[in-house]
Amino acid sequence: MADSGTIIRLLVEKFPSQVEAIELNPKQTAVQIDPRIVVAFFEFIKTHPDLKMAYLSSISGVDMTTNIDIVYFLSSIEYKHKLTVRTKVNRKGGKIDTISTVIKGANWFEREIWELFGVEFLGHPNLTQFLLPDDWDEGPPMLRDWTGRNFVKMPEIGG
Amino acid sequence: MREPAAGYSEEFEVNMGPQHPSTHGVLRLLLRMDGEIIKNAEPHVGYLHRAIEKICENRTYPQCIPLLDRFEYVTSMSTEEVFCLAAERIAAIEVPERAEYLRIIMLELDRIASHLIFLGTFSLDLGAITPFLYCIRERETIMDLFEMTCGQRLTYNYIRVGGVSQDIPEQFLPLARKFVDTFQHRVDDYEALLTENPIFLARTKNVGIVNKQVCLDYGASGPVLRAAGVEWDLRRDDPYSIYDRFKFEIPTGTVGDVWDRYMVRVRELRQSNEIVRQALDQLPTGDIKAKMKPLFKPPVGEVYARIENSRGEMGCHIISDGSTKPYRLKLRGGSFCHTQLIPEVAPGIMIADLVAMFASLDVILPEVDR
Amino acid sequence: MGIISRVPVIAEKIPGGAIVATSLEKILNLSRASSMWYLLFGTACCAIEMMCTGASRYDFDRFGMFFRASPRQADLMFVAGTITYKMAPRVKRLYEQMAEPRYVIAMGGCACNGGPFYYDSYAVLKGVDLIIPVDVYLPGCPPRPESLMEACIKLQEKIKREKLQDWSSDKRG
Repeated sequence: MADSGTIIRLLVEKFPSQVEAIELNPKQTAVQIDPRIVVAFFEFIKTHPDLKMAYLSSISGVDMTTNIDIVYFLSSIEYKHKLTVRTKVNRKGGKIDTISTVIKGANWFEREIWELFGVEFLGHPNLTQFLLPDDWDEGPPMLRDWTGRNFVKMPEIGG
Repeated sequence: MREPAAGYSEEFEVNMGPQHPSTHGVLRLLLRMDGEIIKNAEPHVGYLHRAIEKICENRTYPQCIPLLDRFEYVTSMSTEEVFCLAAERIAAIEVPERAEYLRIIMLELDRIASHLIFLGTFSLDLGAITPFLYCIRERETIMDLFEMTCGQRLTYNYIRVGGVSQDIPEQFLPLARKFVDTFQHRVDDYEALLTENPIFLARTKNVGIVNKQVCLDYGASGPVLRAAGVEWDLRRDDPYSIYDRFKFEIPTGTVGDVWDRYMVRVRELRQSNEIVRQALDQLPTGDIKAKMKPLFKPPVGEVYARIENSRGEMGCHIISDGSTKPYRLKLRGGSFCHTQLIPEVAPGIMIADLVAMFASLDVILPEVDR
Repeated sequence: MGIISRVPVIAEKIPGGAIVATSLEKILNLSRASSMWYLLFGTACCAIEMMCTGASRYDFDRFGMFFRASPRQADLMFVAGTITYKMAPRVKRLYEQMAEPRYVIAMGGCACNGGPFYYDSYAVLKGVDLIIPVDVYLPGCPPRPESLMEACIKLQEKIKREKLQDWSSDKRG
């Protein structure tokens, strides 16, 4: 099992200017990567004999008001270590390559982020309506400044 | 793979619609059939998308907990646990001993209740009505235990950030011990009805095989992954809470068919019973909640916490910006990945086998839709 | 002799049996109320409580109520669970497929008016009575099995008060 320092060292050696380690609270193994290398990155950590991280737990989209962050969580069944990978795309019209060719389970996670945040995944086999009604025309609803026709915000209690 | 009969045949589409007794919720399966054999199955979800993640961005941390109960209502305790675990990791709060033991007892009783619902509805789908009534009878005892502790039968709002909300009353321990002592014999009853039954074996052996590679590709977890032969249990492999103090086995299957998934869950019933027995024996006295400020305001941070639910891995990604409300809350349930397995496994099987296979995956639709 | 004490009768004892004379309304209402078959339709948490009410401890079968999978064979629909905008047209279609006389019980907070998902949610229908007519509202989150049985008893009382002329004048459903 590789520890946190070894994992980050291996990744930074392979992609020198496009991967950097980041500090998060609480302490966890986390890197920030350039969105253009996303497919090559996941290929590398899936096949490298010391990493073997092929088990995808989740992909989240986060609206950080200046851009949209996409956060991937991976772990390894053989070595039991974990990794958090962050990358940024544009808020309006953001595009990133899909990783569903490398890890099949990413399919529905990416479809959900496309629908709720408006990020396009290039090469995805099936970007169609997923969770929202078929006639939805009010834009990606998970953005922080979104309002819609029947959206009632909870009033602040206590003044 | 079965071959269609010789002669002229035409493919047609069948809608196994949102309202169907064996879809376990509102799932729509668009099936393309050639006679009784399925050529393609496409799941359509979103009929229960209630925007829980958007709502939680405008609620304080304690206000999120009742909403998360409704996210996975069959095992509400585990959703509360994963959320509180994530919040406690960001704020570096230590939970007192007695609260940890109470949490373990509630989580394992919840796991037993969830597997009993699985057993009941699974056998109901295959046509056996008696096990359903037996399982609900046991589950009612567990509901009594929960009701005397927190007042609710289904959505508990019991586990809070820093501990639990109330201590157990005095009638809890005798009833819990009585349940734990008799439960092994009840599981023997269920097995006597189903496990060696020739009709049950014909409908479940070598049906709906999900092998190890497919499971790992799609991120399957929990009993589905263990039935395929991979010994992966987050209680042992990514430890949380105080599970390292209890002795329990991790049952696995071999082939990954419907029978293996059924057997893994039945053996897990016995193991959870053992954990509850050990926890009741070791239960210490003490506080039930850590000393915290009245308004919970964690520091800036981000964490992904995961626990072993009865359906698989349940994960909670919280991003905190230092205020009383979470900036982003993302939930991940095991059923989300398991529903993706259907288009992989369905082609070539008959529709009755699809019903058995889908029931054995134990999917709950709010985990998929949120 | 229980039934005879509860309907307006003129009973005459003849050898080998008894004749009960009552109004057609009373006997039709009584038979319909005592044998409601409900549609297995549950979306969310209230569906689990509905299942538990039909099972071991709180048995529904003693009221004559039994679940049916197809709306064509059911006369009662429990709307148990949250209804979203995506699901709403399907609920309406299910209601239209039920044969008259048909009744609806809105079970739980979500079916009554949106429940805990009223505020801040972009996809939840705020009450099922916006699309189908409801006979009994049952609040709770989720309502206990005893509450559900109370709602069924209230519905039975409502059915027993129905008048025969309402059938032909199209005032029902």
